[in-house]
Amino acid sequence: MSRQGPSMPRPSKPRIRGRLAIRQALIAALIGLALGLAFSALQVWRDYQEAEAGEQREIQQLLAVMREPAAQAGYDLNKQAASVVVQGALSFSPVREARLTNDFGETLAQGRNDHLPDDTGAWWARFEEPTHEYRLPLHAGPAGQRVGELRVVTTRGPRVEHFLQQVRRDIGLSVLGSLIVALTLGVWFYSTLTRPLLAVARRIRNGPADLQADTPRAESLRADEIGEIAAAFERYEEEARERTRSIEASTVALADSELRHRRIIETAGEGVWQVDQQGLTTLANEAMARMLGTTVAQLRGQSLFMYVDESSRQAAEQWFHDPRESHGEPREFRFVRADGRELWTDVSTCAIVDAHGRQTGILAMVTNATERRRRDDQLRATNAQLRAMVVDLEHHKRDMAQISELNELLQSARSEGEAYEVIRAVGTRLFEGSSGGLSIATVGEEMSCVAQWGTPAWMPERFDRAHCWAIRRGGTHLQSSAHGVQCSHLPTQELGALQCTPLYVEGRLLGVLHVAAGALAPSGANLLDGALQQRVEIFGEVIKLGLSNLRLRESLREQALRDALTGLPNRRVFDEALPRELARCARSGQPLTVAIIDVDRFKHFNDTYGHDVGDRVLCAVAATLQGSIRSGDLACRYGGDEFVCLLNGATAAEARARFMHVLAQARTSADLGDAVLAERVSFTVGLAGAPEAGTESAALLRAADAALYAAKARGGDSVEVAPAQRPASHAAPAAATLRA
Amino acid sequence: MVLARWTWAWLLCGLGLLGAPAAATQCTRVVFSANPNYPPYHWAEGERIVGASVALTGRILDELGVRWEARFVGPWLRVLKSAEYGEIDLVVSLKPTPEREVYLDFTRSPAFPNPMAVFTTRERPIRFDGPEDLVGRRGGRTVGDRFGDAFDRFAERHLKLEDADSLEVNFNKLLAGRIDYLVTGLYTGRASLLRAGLAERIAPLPRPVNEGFIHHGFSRRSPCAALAAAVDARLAAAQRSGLAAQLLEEALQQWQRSGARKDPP
Repeated sequence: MSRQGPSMPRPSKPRIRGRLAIRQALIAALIGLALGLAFSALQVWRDYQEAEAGEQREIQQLLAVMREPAAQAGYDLNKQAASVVVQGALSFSPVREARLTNDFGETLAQGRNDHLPDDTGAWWARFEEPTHEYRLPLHAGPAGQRVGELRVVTTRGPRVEHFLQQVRRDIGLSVLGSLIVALTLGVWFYSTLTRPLLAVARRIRNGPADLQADTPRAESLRADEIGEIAAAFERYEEEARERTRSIEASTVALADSELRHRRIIETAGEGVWQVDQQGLTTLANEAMARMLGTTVAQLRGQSLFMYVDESSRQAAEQWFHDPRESHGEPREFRFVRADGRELWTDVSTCAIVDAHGRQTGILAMVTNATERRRRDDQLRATNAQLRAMVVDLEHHKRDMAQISELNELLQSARSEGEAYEVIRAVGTRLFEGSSGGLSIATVGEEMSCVAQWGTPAWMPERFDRAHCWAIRRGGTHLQSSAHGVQCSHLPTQELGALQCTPLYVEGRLLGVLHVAAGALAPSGANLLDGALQQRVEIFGEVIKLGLSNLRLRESLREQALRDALTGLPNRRVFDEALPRELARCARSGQPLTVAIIDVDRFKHFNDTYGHDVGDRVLCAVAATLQGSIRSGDLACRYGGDEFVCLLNGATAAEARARFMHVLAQARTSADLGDAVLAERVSFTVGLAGAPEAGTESAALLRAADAALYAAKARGGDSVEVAPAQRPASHAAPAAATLRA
Repeated sequence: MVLARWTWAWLLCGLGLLGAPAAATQCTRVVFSANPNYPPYHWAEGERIVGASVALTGRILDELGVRWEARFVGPWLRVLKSAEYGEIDLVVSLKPTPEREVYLDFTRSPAFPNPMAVFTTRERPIRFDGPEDLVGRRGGRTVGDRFGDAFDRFAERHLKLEDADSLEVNFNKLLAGRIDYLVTGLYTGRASLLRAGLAERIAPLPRPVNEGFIHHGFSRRSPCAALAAAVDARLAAAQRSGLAAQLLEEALQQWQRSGARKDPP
């Protein structure tokens, strides 16, 4: 019953009722037969043993009887008596041979019985030993010494005959016993095995009379294995009924579930696409069709790969068909919609296998990723911009550091020459890879190049400011092959993009900054990039600020140390210089002379011609003094109409001679006063030479001042030398007044 | 392997024998025996053989300085067989026959006379001058007895001699009159009569059937066979001096005494 599959009913063989009973009967008969055979064999074996033992027993008895006479015959060596013994032994049925020997090894008597029954000829008799030999040692005499031996040989014929008789008698009993055993077994089998099994079989064949009725089950109450079988059958029958009910319920639940899943698939927002092994669509939902711009009906039967973009079609086929690919991870594919637009999707798949584990298709979950991809692209672009900005910022930071350094260096520069060197060095670093330079406005219309960096060095040493378009335009001028006009002061060779930035401070042109992009320029660019432009502008600004600052500082210093009217160093400079020079001269042993000059009748000039003329007189005197001293000497305005001169390496006499010469020249030339006045301007000089007139500043000045007064007292326009302080000095009477 | 082992064993034995040839081949002790039931010459007493033969032989061997033993070894046939196989050295006082010559070296001089005599009852004596006198009479003898070739041939042709198993049976037959005479050894017959107490009723006839002698026979397998010549000389001397006859008479007395001791009336 259970072997008949539900799908393939097998034609049942004709059933024979009572087969089991027949089989059991046969088994019982076989067991009876086997037992009978076993019993018979056992019996035969016993008979055989009995035959053997019987013969042995009889022979032992015979020998016991023969012992005495045989021993006597052996002792007496009596052949007659021995012969009697031998004949007696031979008269016994199984004995074939008998021999009596004495202890000397001689045969006293022997005999052979040839009338014994022959072998039965039975084949098995060959396994029986043909003869058995029995030996009886004989002892006699007063000392019981060994006197000989009686040897008896029996043959198997009588033994076998006896054995056969026994077997014939016993075999019948064995057969009878076997029959009884077989019958008993048969009855026992039938009652304990066959009958209950038949009842169970009937129960299985006919089924329960009433499924619902709680009828007692056949044989299930038995305590043995048949009872267990019957109970198990009842249990399985019940379970089968339960299972049938369960399967029916499951079928209904499955149908509901399938309907529910179908609804889920149909209404899902994601595309569901099931294809077979060839990639042909077997199932697709509305969302999938919408994504591809088609309908479910049109999609069915069409290949999935038809909608995959050509460029990724091969990869898609490989991915779909290669079982080693990890289909759990979603992968991005580009589809082409029915209207030709592209559709980016995330596809995750799982294999569909049949009951035998073979893959029959693939279920793909498709998510529209077009929008996400667009956002990704935007994000990437923004990211790139941010990166570029970061790079720019880094560059800017580096530039700012350079600019800051430039600023600091410029602030620390003490001269414009140093400042130009700083600008060149920083420009080289700041515009690495490019070339350029700075031109400064000099007197007139000329521009002079003060700093240049990069190669080639194309900046002209000088050029006319009228040639520069940037100066003319008053703002940044860009020039390249495709932009602007090239300045005529620039070389004709191709420089690429070039930027000229004029530097104005408070409306005055300070200079022009030239930067050629050179290697920095992006290929094909006609202009400097924004960063470079910005850098140029900041660079320009810092240069402007630094240079103007430097110039302002120089101007302030000038104002502090020079007399504004005459342009000569003022008294402060002289006060600082005098002790220094005195000390130097004292160390070197050189002479030094201090001259105090006072303009003659200056009050007269002021009062007569006004302060303006007075100032011009002062300027003329200052110019004369400046022109009359050597480069190492110093001429200062000491205050009012007084001037002082410090003449290094000149003795008072030498100084007197020189001023005398100056005064003489002034009398003849019109330079001093005549050009602007109707009267001649003269001055008086008081000289004090160190160390004769003093070795200290104050003393020296006092001496010079005293000399001046002395000269003034004599009417001025002369040179008076202060006398030497020491009495030994010959200079004391040297004071002389020269009068024109 | 077994053969090899036995070969070695035999070799060792042989070496042992060679190493002590004197001990093995020299006769240091003479064991002799005789018919245990042949009085007065010799008979068995327990484990010993006694009688005239033993007395004579013992005396001779003592004179020769040889130790000796008179041993009872069994019935007469067993004594002969023992000598044949060398188990004893000497069989004393027996009749030389060609079969015995095969394995016994007999002394030339007889040890004792062993005349055969005709015994009759004293009541019915017969005249006996020669074998012819016995013709027509019923005679008896013990199985196996021989009386000399001449008498034996005559008896075979002319005499009716009934064999009986023992001398006692013949005496009884004689007394009962079933036989008229009995032929047997003179001394042995007398001894039997003495023992049976029939000496008064049965007596030997004066004329013997023949003058038989019995000799000593050394076993040919015995080393003591070398003594044969010496023993022979002494036997001859004893014969001549009448010592043998004297010892026989003494033995008869001894036999009778031993019978009286054994079978008190």
